[in-house]
Amino acid sequence: MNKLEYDLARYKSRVQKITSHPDPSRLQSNATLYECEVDLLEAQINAWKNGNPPMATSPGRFTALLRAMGFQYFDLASLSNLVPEDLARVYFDRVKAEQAPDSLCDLLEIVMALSLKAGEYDEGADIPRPALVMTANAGCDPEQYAWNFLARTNGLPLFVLDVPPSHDDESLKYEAKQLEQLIEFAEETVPGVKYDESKLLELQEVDREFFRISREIYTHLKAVPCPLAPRDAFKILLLPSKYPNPHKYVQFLREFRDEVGERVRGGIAGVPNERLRLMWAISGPYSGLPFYLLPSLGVSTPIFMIGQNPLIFGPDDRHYGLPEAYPRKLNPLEMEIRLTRHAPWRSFGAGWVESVVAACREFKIDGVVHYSQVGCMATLGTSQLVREAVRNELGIPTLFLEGRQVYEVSAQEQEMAEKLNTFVEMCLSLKASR
Amino acid sequence: MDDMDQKLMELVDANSDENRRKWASDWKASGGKIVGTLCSYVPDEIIHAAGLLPWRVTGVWDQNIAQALVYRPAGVNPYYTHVLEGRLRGDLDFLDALVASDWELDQLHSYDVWIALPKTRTDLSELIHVPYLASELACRKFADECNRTARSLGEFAGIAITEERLRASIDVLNRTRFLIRELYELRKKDLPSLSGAEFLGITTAATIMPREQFNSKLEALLPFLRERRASVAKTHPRLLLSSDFLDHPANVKLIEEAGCLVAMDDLDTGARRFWHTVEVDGQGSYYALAKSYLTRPACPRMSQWIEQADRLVAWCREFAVDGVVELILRLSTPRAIRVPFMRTRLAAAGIPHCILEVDYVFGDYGPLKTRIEAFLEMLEGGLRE
Repeated sequence: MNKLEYDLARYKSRVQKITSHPDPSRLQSNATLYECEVDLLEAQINAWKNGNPPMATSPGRFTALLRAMGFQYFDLASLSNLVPEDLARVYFDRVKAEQAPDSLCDLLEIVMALSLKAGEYDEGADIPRPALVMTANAGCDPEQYAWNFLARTNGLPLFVLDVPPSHDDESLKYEAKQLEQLIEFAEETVPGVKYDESKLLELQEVDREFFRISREIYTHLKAVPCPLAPRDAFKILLLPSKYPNPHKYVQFLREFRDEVGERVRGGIAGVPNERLRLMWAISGPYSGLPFYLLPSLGVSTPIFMIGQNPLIFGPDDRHYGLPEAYPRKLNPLEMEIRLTRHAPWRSFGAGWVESVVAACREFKIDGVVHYSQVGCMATLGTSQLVREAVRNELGIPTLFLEGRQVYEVSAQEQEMAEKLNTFVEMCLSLKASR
Repeated sequence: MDDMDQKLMELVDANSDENRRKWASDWKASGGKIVGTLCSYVPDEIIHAAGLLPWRVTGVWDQNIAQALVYRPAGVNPYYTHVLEGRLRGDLDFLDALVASDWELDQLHSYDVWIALPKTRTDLSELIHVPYLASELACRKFADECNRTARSLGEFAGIAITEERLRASIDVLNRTRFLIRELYELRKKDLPSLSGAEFLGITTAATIMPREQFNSKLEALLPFLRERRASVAKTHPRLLLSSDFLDHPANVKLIEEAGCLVAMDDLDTGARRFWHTVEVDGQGSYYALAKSYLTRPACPRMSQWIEQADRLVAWCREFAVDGVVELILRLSTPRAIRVPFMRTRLAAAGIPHCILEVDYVFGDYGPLKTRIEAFLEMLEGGLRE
């Protein structure tokens, strides 16, 4: 079974479980979310089987533009994320056999592993070979190089978008100019591809809806007590334009927002007797341990702080200003850059650190869990600056944890449990003294 | 040791722990200011044109980095951690400014730490964005970055960097690169003039000495070197050493002592840094600089992997190399990800390839030595056949 069909089976199973045995303690909007994932996987599989429409991939960005050119978006990032342990081992062994060092981040290694077995649908490949690969240093280095690896290993057309670290108007114009070149490159290279600006504008309107609704969701999550349990907090909200039916994803966002809003109005707590609020930063945990340990300790996680979050909830959107308000009128390609949400942790560290402090303040956070994948270059370099900033400005501590998708998950869990227990006690003690 | 040998050793040992600060001290004593750099894509020319001394920062060459580990976790590129340790110890107190780049995210974030700490901050700190490709648009962007940084350096130095000053600096650095490439020609000889370790000593000297001084010293030595025979145990197998941030000749010596000659390199402290000439045409000096730096033999952080592989194969042929040893600096992502691709390309070209993960300071060399010896044995078997 290829990786897309593997994931399709998992999501179909989840949809079936929610609709046949709804659990009132769980979010019902998840059903719509999983249906969107099913739609996307089916669309990708069909494009792979039929060779039409041509597929294009990027590290989760510029989905509206790629679709506006007529591509089926190939979501390699989602396929590589949170892979079950037994499957991850297979992938890691495949990459090790190619003598890649063990210190690379797990997500990257899985992209590499899948790339090594890309091919035609009926050849027993894990993933398709897209007609176009786009990469950009907008999220982190490993992400950029991993897509480069996919293209170079399979001899695929590659477009590299260069993103400067200073997100100012000059950078915006520079990147937009490159998108013009992308369109030209794609039209010349891939038969049948033609840029349709009206399609881009239509998809951008839906993507803009995402920003508005996400801000409302984050406002709800600031409530005390937090309306969500930790297991529901690690949701990475994405741009609707990657889905075949982006309006259905917007529908999910509205349902999610409304469910969370109802809980806030009803005073329903995700963690009964909430006594501590932690920010969980960087990566979602690979083990389910935090989802049951933290609630048992009376701990909620109102904010899962990953790269693009500050652009959604924060009062200070550093990336070219707020989406709706910019000092000059932007052309559609410039707007595409703005909506794509380059991760602040890929820019100068001061911006990322300030975002973390602002989030801690807004969400009334008592402590930070800085959980990163081994080899996460996006955030390890600034981790001590984050620790100092939250300590000096807010008087709250930081716990550093590292995790891997595979290799002795149970041993990781034991260590994580000990450290989390100790950290929670420390945070409670500090909170009492404040 | 005769006079020419002494002059040679002055260059070979210029960047040693004992000597490297001497160049900085002398420069400061004459009223000059020093700009530290962490990346070979930062054009020395823009620093030189401001009347400042460009100084590639070497990290501490020992394993005690306790002070730096307070600010940098263990799981990051050790070169920057060793640099930070040097700064915290006071070894780099003579630096007046720092120009870093976003060669990789970890360099950007090391820069963040550098400017955040009062103990490490310099009077001027700049970060220059290096595009990941060498398109026309990217070259123009890099030219703007060089221009912006040069203006900042000029203001710091109290000097207006005119087109004439910049061209004069380009001429000086072009001369440095030309002289070093003359030296590389000598590496093609079956009986080398310099060992690989000695060669790295000279190329790193070129990154910290006042450039005019380096040029005149090397120029004076070239006739001697053309006749010199290096004192090496073995001249075969001939290896090409490929890595990043490698600056300690002792590491190269360890490899050669396993029974080989490092006949060529693919290092940012070696060939990649010097294998280009900046040619100024009607588009101005900043554009010429940008284009030259972005199109020279590229570091693995650049996106043109195919060209990088082709360059490596070409060098192997040109320098009659028997095998490539690729040292991946632990936790430096760009090279690590490229490994499987490069492996395939070198295999297709029939070039044996040994891949080793190393630290900035070679701590426990035993396992490394065993792997290298095994590779050399394989190469020697091939040579006999």
